[in-house]
Amino acid sequence: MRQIVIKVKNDGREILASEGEILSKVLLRNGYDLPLTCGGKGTCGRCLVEKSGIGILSCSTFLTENMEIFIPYLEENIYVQQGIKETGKFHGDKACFALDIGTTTVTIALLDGEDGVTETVTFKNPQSRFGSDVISRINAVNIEGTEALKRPLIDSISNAINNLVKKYFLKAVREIFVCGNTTMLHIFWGEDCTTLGYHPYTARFLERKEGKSKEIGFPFECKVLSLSGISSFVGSDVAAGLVTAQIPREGKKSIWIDFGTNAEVAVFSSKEYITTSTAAGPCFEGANISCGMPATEGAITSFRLGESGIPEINYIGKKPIGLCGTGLIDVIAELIKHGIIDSTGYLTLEKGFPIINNIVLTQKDIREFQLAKAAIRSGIETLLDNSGTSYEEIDKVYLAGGFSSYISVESAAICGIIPRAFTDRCVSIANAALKGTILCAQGKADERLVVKLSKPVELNEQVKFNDTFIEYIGF
Amino acid sequence: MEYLQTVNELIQKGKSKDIQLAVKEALDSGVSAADILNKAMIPAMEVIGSKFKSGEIFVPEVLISARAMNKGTEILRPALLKEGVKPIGKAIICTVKGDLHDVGKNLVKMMLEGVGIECIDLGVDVDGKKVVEAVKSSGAALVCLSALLTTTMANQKEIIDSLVAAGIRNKVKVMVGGAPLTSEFAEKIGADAFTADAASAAEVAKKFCLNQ
Repeated sequence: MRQIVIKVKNDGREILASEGEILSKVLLRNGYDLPLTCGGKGTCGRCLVEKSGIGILSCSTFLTENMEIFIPYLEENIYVQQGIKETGKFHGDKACFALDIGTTTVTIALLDGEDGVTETVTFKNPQSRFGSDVISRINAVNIEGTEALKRPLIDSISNAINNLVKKYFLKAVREIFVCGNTTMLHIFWGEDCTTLGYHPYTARFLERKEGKSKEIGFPFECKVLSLSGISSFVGSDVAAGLVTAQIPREGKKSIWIDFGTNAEVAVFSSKEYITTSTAAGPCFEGANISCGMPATEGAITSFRLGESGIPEINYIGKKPIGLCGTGLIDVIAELIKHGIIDSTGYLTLEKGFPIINNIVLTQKDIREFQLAKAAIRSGIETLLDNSGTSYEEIDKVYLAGGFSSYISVESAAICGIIPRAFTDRCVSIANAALKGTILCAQGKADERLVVKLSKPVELNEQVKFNDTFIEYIGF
Repeated sequence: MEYLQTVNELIQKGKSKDIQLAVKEALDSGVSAADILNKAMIPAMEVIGSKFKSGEIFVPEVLISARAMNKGTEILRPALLKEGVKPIGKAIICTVKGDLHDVGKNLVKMMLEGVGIECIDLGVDVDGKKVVEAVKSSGAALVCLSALLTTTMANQKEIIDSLVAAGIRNKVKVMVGGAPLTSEFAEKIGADAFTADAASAAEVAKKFCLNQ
């Protein structure tokens, strides 16, 4: 077998491989992080690397010759959510941390005494090489074992905590409070999550769980506590998030919509929380969309067609190269408004809609979007129906999750992601899960009260769900 | 000809309300049931299938047309029986154990019916034992297995293994489908075919039935 040399321009390293090997496997083996959102099928476009200025998919590239490559993913800035004030100062000597383990990113907050937050740090979940959603992570556990997914996660958290310990001269770590979806918490604790992957989706634990850091695999000694979750697919991150939302006025209800690969929806009053999760897929994070990308350098974040037909475009950085979730929603809304997409989702332009430069939205992209938006909308409608709630009874609409602060509510309503009646009562709530975890760590709130009042609804078991889903595929 | 044209158009447009009257009128005027099925309804569903494949229409439009097809067949069935017209084949279809998703399965079922295959729908969360029983009692020559989750697609293999254990694997063709699947996976678990969408599934199923 012939030896192949790959030069990685990001750090100048040269790595060795054998002819015929798959590029993505070689990169992962050598410690480079790479998201395989579609599981290496060559459909999502997230593992793209540049080879002499041309983009190639590393998961479908068989090595035949020496090459120089650049991995854009490693240089991507993470979409850091705003909304937590950092003091930059630490008082006292024993530190307490709050952690939100998301499927895509992990955020850590160092708490300063009883009130403030010293600093928050966000980094990519190192499990992204195993796929973007919880089901693909569960599948990876099935194949590779829990440890293969747990180890990189714990190491990356240790690393981030150690950096903060050094930076603020912390003498010791006292306690770590953790929230995350049910799958992430199972992996964090080293519990078997495989039963979450098939009907009836049984969790090994949902309640608060306590343990010692050394037993989990951290190099330092402290107490670790994870918050309680609501169901197998509505985890402690949602419970913690709901802690930060205001209780609606008497006789009213509020709704919580967390956009994600698994979107969570909750309809709640002071008496009960009806919750569900709906599989929206990764298209709002840019995967499975031909011109899609995460909200990083080059992403189009908003779009208007404008009176004169000249588009008004906002993007991050110097040059637009693709569409992120908010941009995608805007483009589709504008095309609907101008009759370029009809009510069935049919794009009247044969070659796709040219946005700017070479960025083109295709018919297939629109179909992908339709499935995602129908999943979220039918989740909303099913919960309203289940709880006997009308649009008018809804007091506030909380939009949580990565891009909720930047989403155009108007565009979301035109696309039918949310009902039009909601547009005047939307509140964006960034970093809600971490905020709620901080409140619980400070003893100011308790997610167990939310969990106690929760009634999870399993959409799959709802007779009407399929019909509702089909009903909302169109525009 | 005009009657056939009308039936064809009504199915393509998904006019469930008007289709029954149109089929009745065609029969009353002496058009054979076989012609209505083979020269109007099936070609209409073929058009729908290829439009779906190219992305011109989407899931709801296919379902609406398929519903119209079903409505039309209700009227046609007694006449088909009288003329001795038989379905081109019989298929068992289900979503495998552990999986409750059935939008995709239902779509495939309707497209199969659209090419003239009779479908026996076992529903969702189905294990190998049930499939073996259904094959034995119905004599179906085609088994279609759907799985939407990466964690449940392994159960497609479990069903194929059950067919082998029951000694009837060589009596049926097995087709698998679902979002996370690939041809390599289908080959590995010993399926006869994988298709990426409902329209292709119907084409392959038709080929299997006609080659028997």
